[in-house]
Order: sequence, then C-alpha cells, then structure tokens
Amino acid sequence: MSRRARAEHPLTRQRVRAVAVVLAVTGIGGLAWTGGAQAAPGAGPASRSDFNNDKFDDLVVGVPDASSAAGQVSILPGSGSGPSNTGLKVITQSGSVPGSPETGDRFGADVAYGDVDGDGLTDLAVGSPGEADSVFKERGNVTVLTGSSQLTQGDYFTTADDDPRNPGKARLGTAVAMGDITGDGLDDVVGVGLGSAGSGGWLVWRDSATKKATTLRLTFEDLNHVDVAAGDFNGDGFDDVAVTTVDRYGQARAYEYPSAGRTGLTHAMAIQMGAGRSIAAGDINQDGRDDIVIGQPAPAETAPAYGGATGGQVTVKLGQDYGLYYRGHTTAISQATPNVPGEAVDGDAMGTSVDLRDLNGDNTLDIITGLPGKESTVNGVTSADAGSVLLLNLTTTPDGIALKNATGLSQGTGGIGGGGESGDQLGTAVTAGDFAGNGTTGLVLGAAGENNGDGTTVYRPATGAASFLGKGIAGPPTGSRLGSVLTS
Amino acid sequence: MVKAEAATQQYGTHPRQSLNITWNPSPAPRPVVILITGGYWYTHATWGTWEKQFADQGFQVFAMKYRLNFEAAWPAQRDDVASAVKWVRDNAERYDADPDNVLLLGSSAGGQMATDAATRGTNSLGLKGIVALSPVASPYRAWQDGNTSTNDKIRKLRDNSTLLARCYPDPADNSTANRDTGCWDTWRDMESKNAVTKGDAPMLMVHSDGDFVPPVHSTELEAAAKAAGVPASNVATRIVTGSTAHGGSLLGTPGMFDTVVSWLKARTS
Repeated sequence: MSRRARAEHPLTRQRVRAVAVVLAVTGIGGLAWTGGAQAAPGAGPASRSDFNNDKFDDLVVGVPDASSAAGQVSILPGSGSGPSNTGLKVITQSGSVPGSPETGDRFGADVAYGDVDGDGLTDLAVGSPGEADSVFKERGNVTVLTGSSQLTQGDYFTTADDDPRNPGKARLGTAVAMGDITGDGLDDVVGVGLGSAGSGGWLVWRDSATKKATTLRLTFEDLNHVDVAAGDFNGDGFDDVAVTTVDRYGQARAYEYPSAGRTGLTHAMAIQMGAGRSIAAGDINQDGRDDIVIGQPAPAETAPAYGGATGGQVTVKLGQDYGLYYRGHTTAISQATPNVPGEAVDGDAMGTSVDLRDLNGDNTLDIITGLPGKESTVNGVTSADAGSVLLLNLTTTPDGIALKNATGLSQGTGGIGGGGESGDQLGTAVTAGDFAGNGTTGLVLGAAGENNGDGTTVYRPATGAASFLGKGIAGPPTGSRLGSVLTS
Repeated sequence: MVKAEAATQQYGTHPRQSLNITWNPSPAPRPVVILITGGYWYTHATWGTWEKQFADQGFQVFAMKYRLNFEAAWPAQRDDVASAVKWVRDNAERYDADPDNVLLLGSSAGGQMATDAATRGTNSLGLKGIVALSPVASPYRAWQDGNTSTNDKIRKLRDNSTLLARCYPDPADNSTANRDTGCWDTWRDMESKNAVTKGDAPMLMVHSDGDFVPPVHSTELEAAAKAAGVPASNVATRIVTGSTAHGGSLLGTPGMFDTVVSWLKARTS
C-alpha cells in the first residue's frame, strides 16, 4: 500500500545531476550530510523490511480487525522457505508499546517501514485510525516502533487540535508512509486520515530529527478512501508525498505535497490524473525520479475528465522535473489493455491493491495489483468474488513505459493450491520481497475473505509451489480478515 | 525559494481594467486564481497579503480590478470578469499558468461577480470553480435590507446596488424606451440565483453569522442551484459563527484560509 519501492540501482547520471542541483540550491559547499556516505539526500539505499537484520526480508501483516478491531501487527521473519512462523512477532498496543488495545482502535490499519533514527535498523510505523483520546473519539494516531527495541518501544503522533474543521475527527493513520522528506538521512513519517463529521481529510507528517509533527489540511470533504506514498517525484533529493483520495461523494482526486527541502512538506498540488483508492511509489523507469501507480477499482470513482475502465484499472504517472502534478506522462492499464489476461467485468475491482517491484530482473519496476472481486470458474463451477492478482510487467520506452506482458494468478492456478471459493477475495492486499534471502522476489497475496472472513495470505516464491500463511501461522484470531494489509 | 515576481498588466483599455499578478516561475503550468475585490462596486478594496499567500499555496494569482458602478452600469462588471479571464488564458504561458485550470475568488461585491460568472450560461467561462466571500449574490435583497436597516453599511450597499443598476427596482418598470435592458430585468439579471443551471461552475460561499451581507444571500443561491440539479458536491455554503467578519477578512478567521485552499485545490484537475 505505501512502502517505498525504490529499486536498488547504481548511481545513475540522473541521480548525480539531481544531487548537484540540491547543492546548488542550498549553497552547501561540501558533502556534509549527516550520516556520511549513505546520506546524500534521496540517494541512500532504502531500508529493507528486515527487522531482525538477518538479510531476509520479513513480512509485515496488519490485522486491524483482530480482537474487536483493537488490531494487531504480525511480523513473519523471512527464512529459506519464505515468511515463517518461527520467530513470529505479534504486536499489539500493550506492554511497552504505546497505548492500550481498545475496541475499534484498528491498530494495523496500515504499516510502513524505514529508518527514523539513523541506526541502520528498520523501524515500523503503524496507523490506528480508530484511536480515541480523552477529548476526541475519532482522532486516530500513528505509532512508530524502533528497530533497536525490536519493535517493543516507541512513540506516537497525532493531529494538532487548533483548527475549527476539527482535526480531532481526522481518523489519522488510515494510511501511513515513510520517506526522507527533509533530506537529513532519517526517514520521516506521514499519516493520513479520512476525517469524519465534516472535518475533511487530514495529513500529518513528523520530522524524525526534531519529532515535530505538522498537521496539514488534505481535503475539504470527508473521505471514503485514502492512501499515501512517499518518493522523490521531482528528483531533487528530497522525498515528496503523494496521496490518493475518494471523497464522500465518490469523487477521486490525487494530491502531491512536494518537499521544499529541510523545511519539509509545503502546499499540496492536485495531481492531474484519474485517482482511486490505493497508491504505491517507486522509480519504475530508473530515471532518478520516483513514479506512482494508483489503483482505481471502482470506475465510477474518478474525476469525470479521466474516466475509468470496466472492472477497474491502474494508472501510472511518471515523475518529472516538476514532480507529478501536471497532466500527462500517464499510462492506464486495465483488463481491456492488449496482453492483459481476463475479461473485464463490472465489480472485478482491479486496483484494490497495488505494489511496485522488479519481478523479472529487467531493471524496470513492475506492477502487482489485486482484483478481489474477480469471479473464478473452475471445472464449470463459478465462484463470485474469489479474486485474482495480475502481475503487469513493464518496460521502459523512449517516451515513458509500456506493458510488456502480464500474468494472472488465482487459487488453483499458477502454482497456487486450493480452489477459489466465493468471497475469498484474493488480492485484497499484495506485496513482494526477498523473503528467502536468495536475491529472488517472492509474492505475498492477501485473501481477506477466505474461510468466512478469517482471511489468509498466499506466499508464492519466485520458483516452486505456493503455500498458505493462514491465521495459524500469522497469528490473528478467527474472523479478523487476515490479508487486508500487507507490506514488505 | 524563488520569490513571487509581481507585475501589473491591463486587460482592457479602461484604467481600471488591470490585473496585479503574483506568481512563481514553475517548470510546469500551475492553476490560476483570479481575485475579484469588493468595495460596494464603487471602490476597490485591497487584498493585503492574501495575493502572496495564495501564490505560496501554488497558485498563479491575478488580482483584477474592474470598472466601478459610477463609471459603467451593470453588466460592464460581468463583461470585465470575462475579459480578465480571457486575458489570463491568452497570456497564461508568460506566467507559467494553466489556462485549463482557472478559478475565481471574489469578495463582497466581487463575490457577486464571481457567483454571476459561475451561474451565467452553463459555465460559459469554463471555470473550474469559484469561491465567494460574503457575496452580494442578490443585490435586490441588499436593496430591500437597506430600506429597513439603520446600519450604514447595509444602507450604503442598497444605494450602490441602485447605482449599479442605474434605476429604482420597480417590477412594473421594465421599459426599454430609454435603456438597453429594462429596469426590472436589470435587477433580475444581477441576481445570480436567476441564472442557475445544472452545469454551473462549482461554488463555495462563505459568510460570518454577523455578516452585514447575511448568509441568506448564499443559502438561497445554494438552494436554487440544488433545485436546478447542481450536485451537492458542487455547491456549499460555510458560515463562520460568532463573527462579524466580512469579505476578505473571512480568510483570516481560524482555519478558513486552509478550508478555501483545500476546496480550490480539489477543483483543479
């Protein structure tokens, strides 16, 4: 949903140019960035989802519906056989973790990782949009847990409370992201909230160096959906923030908050593209500027000027010198796009989840997207909302990107066992990582409706058979829709 | 940080037909906000620091002046808005402005010109939206209020509405013997709610509850727009309680500038 997916790549010509521009603008004479070699802004390697530092990516599973929606987060460490129950860490708002687990907090509604303190250990941000305080019932917050405490300690931030539009109703933490907004080598933390009761939507970002949280107005209207991603969209060496929103009238709009540098996020600009419910960021075409992909599962929910495709779609927008906001440089892919398998049907909900990874080693990021509303027909038996996942392999072209080929995954196909049953909703969440520690990219796909709402996840390694990581492995109680929130 | 470069340009031959431009150079065009100041149609109020503050929010800002009611009768002011919009579009490239993302923000008398632009025809100016701060959306209501009020501002507004129309509003007086448009039709034409159609530009209207241009100017217009089929997402009125703020000063009430900016941003696409 909101991880940084900057591909590992050598310092490119463009990246060098970007750093030079920063130096010219800020007037800094030497490479005096804190954090030494890795800390030229934006050029440092992104953190991995490796919380135990064993060089295997770990799987982060948010289960906001667990325990009367008090919520929890499970960390499944990577292993030779992928995300594993061995060393499973279940995090709730108890013990030394800030807060306490209360009905409806929805701890784990979204998760993001990065390095907020520069110790080289991966830290975790967790959204709790239902968190109440003594005054505000719908305030929400974002908890940040440190890698140095093995995710047992940390702090949290929430909205300011001095605005008549009532940020105390923000539902902050509906989605979270991390990125180095201020260019100091420390990842900063961003939370967004749907808002409620006329408060409108909110964005709060916290500078990790000073722990100062800044509350910004996101939208005039309350929102039905919101997601956020961080990336350096204009290549200036400072991470920016992109948000996709769907308001209470069903109008979808995306916004970019460029970083002004050390002072952080400035004003928002509306991104002139069709928007939707999910977003991911990464440098798809390796030009030194991060790009975004937005999932638009409900065609009716987009700005009229842009439209949507039957069954949903994803839209890529490539970062430019000005960032993202101006129109153009977009590519939409739906099931009607040539070489995409499957017939587009109303309600497929393509784009419910999106992630960006290089799945085929061609140095261009590819799209993983869920279609939890896809029906499945196996041996003549049709199951509604069984769900599926599309892998969209992209290639870089002189004027942007293009679809190279695409693969569909569902239960009972593509090495995935089981059979698609009505309501499984495979594709509620998608992520990928090097869980086996061997340089290959494995997929983890959520099916939150599996077994009457217990939910499950499917681990599909780069080669070999897929396996289920159900509640017995990932830890949540029954009926808590495991597979709604995944990051790695 | 690049500082906004100010410039003043004429969009017409009359000395009042000017635009004060506050903009930031940008590698890609940015949305336009045209500010229409108030002042009872007989003077031009100043915007203080608001031009710069809107520019700091990423807009290219064009603050327009226009012919006053003692210089030209209605609909000269409407025509001036159209001319200013056209000039901004024609010259957008010089100011890194996006001709396809033009919004208006009017205050008081200028608010009436903004609601008029939104409702005239079917968004005939192709605006992405308008914000009206204390709009005198119904000059006839202002005239009636002035007849019974002892408040100087309300009486001043009545007299200046009359100056704008250049006649006394009498439903029986609609002769075109001595004027292009009959008197009563002129008053009807100044009334934004008489022109609402489903396809009008989106409108956000703001008053304080103690505003000398009372919120009913806007709530009546909002009701008429909704009755004409304008979707609820495209027309809204916000009322600041416990305040007598009017026009541009509404932007200084707690949270209102951010509210207006977030509404404007949502319209640019």
